[in-house]
Amino acid sequence: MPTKKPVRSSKNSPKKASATRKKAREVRIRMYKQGLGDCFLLTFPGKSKPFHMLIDCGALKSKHYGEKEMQDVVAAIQLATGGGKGKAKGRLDIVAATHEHWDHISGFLQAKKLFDDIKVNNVWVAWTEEPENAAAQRLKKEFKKKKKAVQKALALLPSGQQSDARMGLYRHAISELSGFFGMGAPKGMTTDAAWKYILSLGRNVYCDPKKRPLELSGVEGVRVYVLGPPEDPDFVRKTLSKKETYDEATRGLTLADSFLAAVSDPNDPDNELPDAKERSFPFDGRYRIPEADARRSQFFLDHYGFDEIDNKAGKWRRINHEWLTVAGELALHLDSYTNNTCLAIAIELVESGQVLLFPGDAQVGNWLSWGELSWEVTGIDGKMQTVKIEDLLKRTVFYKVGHHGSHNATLREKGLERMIDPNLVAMIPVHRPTADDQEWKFPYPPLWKALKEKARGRVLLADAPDVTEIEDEAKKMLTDHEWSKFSKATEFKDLYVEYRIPY
Amino acid sequence: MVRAKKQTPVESGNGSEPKAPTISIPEPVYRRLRGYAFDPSLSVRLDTAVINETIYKIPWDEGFENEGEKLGPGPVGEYLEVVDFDPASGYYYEPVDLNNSQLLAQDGLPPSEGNPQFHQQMVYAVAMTTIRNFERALGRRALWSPHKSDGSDFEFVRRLRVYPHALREANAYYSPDKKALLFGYFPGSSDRPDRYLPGGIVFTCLSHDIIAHETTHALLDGMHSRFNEANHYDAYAFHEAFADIVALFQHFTFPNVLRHQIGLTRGDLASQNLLGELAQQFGEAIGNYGALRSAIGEYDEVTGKWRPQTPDPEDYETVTEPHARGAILVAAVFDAFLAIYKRRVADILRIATSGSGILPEGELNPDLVNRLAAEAAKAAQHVLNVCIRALDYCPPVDINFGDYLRAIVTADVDVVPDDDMGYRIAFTEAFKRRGIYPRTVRTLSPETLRWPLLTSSNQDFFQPLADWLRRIAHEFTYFKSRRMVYDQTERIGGTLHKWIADEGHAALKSFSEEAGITFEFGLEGLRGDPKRDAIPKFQIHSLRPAHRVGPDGEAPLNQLVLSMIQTRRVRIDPDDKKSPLMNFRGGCTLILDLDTMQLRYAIKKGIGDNARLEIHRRYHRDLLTDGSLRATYFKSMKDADEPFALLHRSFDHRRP
Repeated sequence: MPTKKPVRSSKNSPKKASATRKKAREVRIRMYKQGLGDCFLLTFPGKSKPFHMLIDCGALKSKHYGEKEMQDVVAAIQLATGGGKGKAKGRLDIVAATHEHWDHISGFLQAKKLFDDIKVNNVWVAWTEEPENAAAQRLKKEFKKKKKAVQKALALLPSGQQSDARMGLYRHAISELSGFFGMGAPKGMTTDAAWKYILSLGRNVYCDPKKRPLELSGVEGVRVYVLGPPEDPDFVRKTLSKKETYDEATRGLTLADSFLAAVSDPNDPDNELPDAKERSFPFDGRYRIPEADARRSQFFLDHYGFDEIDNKAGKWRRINHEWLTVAGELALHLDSYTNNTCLAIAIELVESGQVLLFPGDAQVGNWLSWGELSWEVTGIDGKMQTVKIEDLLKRTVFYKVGHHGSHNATLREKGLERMIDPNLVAMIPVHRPTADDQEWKFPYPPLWKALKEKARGRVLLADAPDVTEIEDEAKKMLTDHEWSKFSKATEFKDLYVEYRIPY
Repeated sequence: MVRAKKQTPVESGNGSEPKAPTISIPEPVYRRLRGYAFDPSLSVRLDTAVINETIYKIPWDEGFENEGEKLGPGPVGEYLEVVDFDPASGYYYEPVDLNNSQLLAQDGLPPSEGNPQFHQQMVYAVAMTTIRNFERALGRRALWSPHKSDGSDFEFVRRLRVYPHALREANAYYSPDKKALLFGYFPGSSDRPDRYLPGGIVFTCLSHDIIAHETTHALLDGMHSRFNEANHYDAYAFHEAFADIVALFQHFTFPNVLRHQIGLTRGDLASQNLLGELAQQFGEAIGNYGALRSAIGEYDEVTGKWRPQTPDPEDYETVTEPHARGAILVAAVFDAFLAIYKRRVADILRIATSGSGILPEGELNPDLVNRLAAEAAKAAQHVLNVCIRALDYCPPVDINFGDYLRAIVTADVDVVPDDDMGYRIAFTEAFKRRGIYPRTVRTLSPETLRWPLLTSSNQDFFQPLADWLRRIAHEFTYFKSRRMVYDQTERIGGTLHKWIADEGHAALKSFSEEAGITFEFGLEGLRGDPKRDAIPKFQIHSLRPAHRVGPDGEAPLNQLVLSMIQTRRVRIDPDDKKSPLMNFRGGCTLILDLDTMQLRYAIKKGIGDNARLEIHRRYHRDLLTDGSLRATYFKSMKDADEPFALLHRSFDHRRP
């Protein structure tokens, strides 16, 4: 629950604070093993009962796991939050949904029945979801349009079985990429549906980096800083090409409009720009020769040819589908765009100063925008102080690695390099067999290496059965005491990896 | 290249009419076609509208394969086949017939954005101009790279297919797979309301620079099909830079454009800024197509004045992105051009200013403007020739910028032995300033940069090969059609290959050191079966006769350019047994003087060169770990199939 009052964690004198710490207050972080996707459960000790916060719950489609694994995980969450076995309902104080990608929210549909049995108080989403925010709505509209264009283009591309093998490969690549936003999923199983369901779970809280840090009701000494998505659309647009700004929409067709116009059916009742098809044609009607007429023209028969008439001569030079490959660019574009508009938070354990960083899948533009932010908070000495991202990164002891460890979701110089706390631990929510199937480099080797250096070996991967993979390396970099402290705080279970931080 | 002028009797248009023997009228030399000098956006600005229309002069006789052939609707000629299908709209557009008497009488259709037939005329005119420039510089007819369909041999591709409206995006590319140029169109950007009607459509097929650029990709692929394999950081960068250089200097050969701009200028005419700024403006017209030219200069944010960029010799070491890297080469060649221009106009300026260097107030003397424009156009044509001609002196694989500098110098020495205008020094200096020079050369001078002439002792190595080539040399003297050039060189290449494989290799034992390929098994990944084959596999990559004429009527050179390639399949990571494999190629370009029957140069890339192998390995490793979104998601789709499509994509946010 956000409060309007400045946070007063300094009520206790430092002495008293250390006394409280001795009560072994600790936050428990569980990274679930539902597959390639994010699902984190954070549990804080509350005044009366534990406080549960779920950050995302989803997994990319894969041949290695399915709905059952997801349901097992959600059942475990239900159990961990006081529910299960028919009697009590589980209770999540907060569900934070970082962004609308399948690998972050699929669980809400795949295990919907179980979620129905969990009481959710607040749903945290990015400010871009706020219905009254005009800028946010414009962003959303443009996004939807592009998404539709990709979907339509995908339907027009020939599949691999047909003659054009290269186009088939391209189609495959686009559909895999689009898997992030659940395209081509069975009816009803879409990111849209999952997102709507999440918003319906509880009271919506629109997280805004420009506002005061959020508090967790009933939990002492915890502050949540909202880092992103950036308010300034320029940062969101950082990954967009210059030609693709949404202001254009008011003046003429955008590139996406023009492409969408070409792939869509003008008679489609959902068509938002019914005249766009006509407007997107490059030439007046009198110049256009429809296909039926071209088929009777000796020139086009001789110099182009038609599959149904002659499937051989010059077929290799035809260009019927080349123009659709731009859909791949659009898809890449959408992917990074969504990752940039995703909710990123830093959780501060006020007394110890420790910070847990959950950037979602924020990409470069999002990370860079954090440098512009500052917050006025009351320090433990009771004085007002200004907090900047540098302070938070400096004190980060836990980092949820962005975008499954891809190359551009962890900022180097102004990000990871600034995480200098000797106790830093990182978690990567990744499923390498699934990533390998697609030949995706998750985790991206140079980043993985840098993480291991920064965290001195303490990098936990969701697909690891135990510490074996990291043990030798970590022991070389850590003192015996550090290693034993770390391994005691870490637990590997079938369904999750757990790490506990005392504060 | 000289072609006999034909005298043809006047034909009546229709074969059924009786042909009366009439007085013979000489065939026209040129077909005159109207077109944009830049692109349509400049026609809507008062200050540039006057210079935006130009007349392209295309050879009337394209040297057709068959007697009596002529340019057909499309246009479809000897080299090009313009087919106007717009798949995104689902429509076809009527092909233009440039032999229509109405069009002949008015130099083709008037420039118009709204008429697809003019678009066809424009792509044809610019692409033919580019082809013509290549043929003039190389002294032979241009061939497209042959097509290989699954399971069959390479076949001759007579015409490059041109699709003026193939894509609905801000992109245009050459497809090596389809032997086609694909041009896109897109809604205009509202960034520049002064140039584009917001929401109006911009056509890439109406920009001189884009057409010339893409045609150059195709021509370069026709000569060096291995240059579009990315094995190191210079590969794509070279393709891009070279295409941009051709587009840029071809533009500078239009004196009327230069005349206008020079006329507008006041004051310091010797200042090189004028031409640099102009070069950049050429490319600016559509999006950032001329982005490569940003390395030439920039606009000062405070004064708004254009100023040349200070070269940084470090860039060549550190910049790896293809466009940024290509920009270094473009800037270097442009520097050389400026130095040449400056030298050419020094005397004119002294005369015009009575030696003071200061021009009188008021309008410039039109004669002076004409002379300066003529010199700039001439210098541009020379630089264009030098740059294109150098292609024959490049190794067949693995070109880097340093090799290209050596090729430029060598080609120029061959054609213009007396460098009284200091062209070679201009190039050497300019490249040096940008940090581009071959790492194997100790000092930098035109003499040391020239590829080493084969001495008589080297000549012994080649003797058996030279003897063999001598026997077939007469066959190169005259080929009638491009198809014949292709068929004959293929046949001779086949015979040569057989001769080397059967017996020649024994006599050529020590040849491998000079030619970069090996006739013994032993190196990892060589193709061929040591038990069955006498020598590892190798390929006669190309065989091209060239007849070169210097600018001042120097004795023409008759040369034969022969290149051979050998390929190894090696592991990217030598220490990892499961490592993916990569192709590692070596080979050489041999240049034989057909008049003296001496082998002049052997320009090689050793198949056993471990230092080079290491560079390739590092490049491939970097690629494997290149975590870019594209590399992450589209790896399996073999991007290389359309290497040029991706280089120009408008959505690509990684572009500078």
